[in-house]
Amino acid sequence: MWGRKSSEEVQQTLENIPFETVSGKRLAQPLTLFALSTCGFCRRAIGYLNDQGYAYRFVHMDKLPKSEQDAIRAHVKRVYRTALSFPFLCLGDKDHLSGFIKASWEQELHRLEEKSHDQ
Amino acid sequence: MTSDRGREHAQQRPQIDVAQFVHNVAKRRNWQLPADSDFLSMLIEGLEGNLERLGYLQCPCRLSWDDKEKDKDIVCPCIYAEADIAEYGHCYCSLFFSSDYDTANEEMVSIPERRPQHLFP
Repeated sequence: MWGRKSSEEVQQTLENIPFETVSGKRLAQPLTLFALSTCGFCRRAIGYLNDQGYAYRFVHMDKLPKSEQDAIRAHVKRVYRTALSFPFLCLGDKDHLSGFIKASWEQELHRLEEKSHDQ
Repeated sequence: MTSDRGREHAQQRPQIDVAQFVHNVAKRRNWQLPADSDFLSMLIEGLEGNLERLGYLQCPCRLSWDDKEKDKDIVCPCIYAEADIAEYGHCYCSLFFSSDYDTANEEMVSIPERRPQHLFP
């Protein structure tokens, strides 16, 4: 199923995903959150990012058509080498956090923030 | 978007009082529900939405195949719940907790996904 679309097709579909952008003063890395509107931990993750003032974008995947869900899954599989579980926070193009564990999110986001300040 | 199969199920969807259902499951299996009533309501609404859309109680914390046969392991309560509750004190969604879990005070965190990756959509 994942191999069916070429990466260009996936990229094209990804560009059309209706992400909601949340503005914030803190920017760790380009942060993209894939979430489900029905999942309690996804809601907590969104609450956490908002409370902490991070800038990020997110989409509720259960609200998307299957073709877009497939494109996101293919993207996650290709870039992050893992199956998609929720909430899934992309930290730039290399790292990710999946599942909401407040302490690990805090630690990882602080680390990235410091790294981006150093640059 | 609903697949043809999803629509077929939706037409013959069973009438279930989801709030009552989760209470009954918890009682029968000697589990607890979350103390945070907003968190509980959200999961119940998620299950209601999935029942409406698919015709079965697909887990609100996992993406559906929109196919009852392929989703059968994650129809609530999912087949992973018992092992997760034994190991971590709650199921993947934190809908069901072990009887000795301090639901009012312990901070809930996501647990590892027990569902094998090859069963994911």
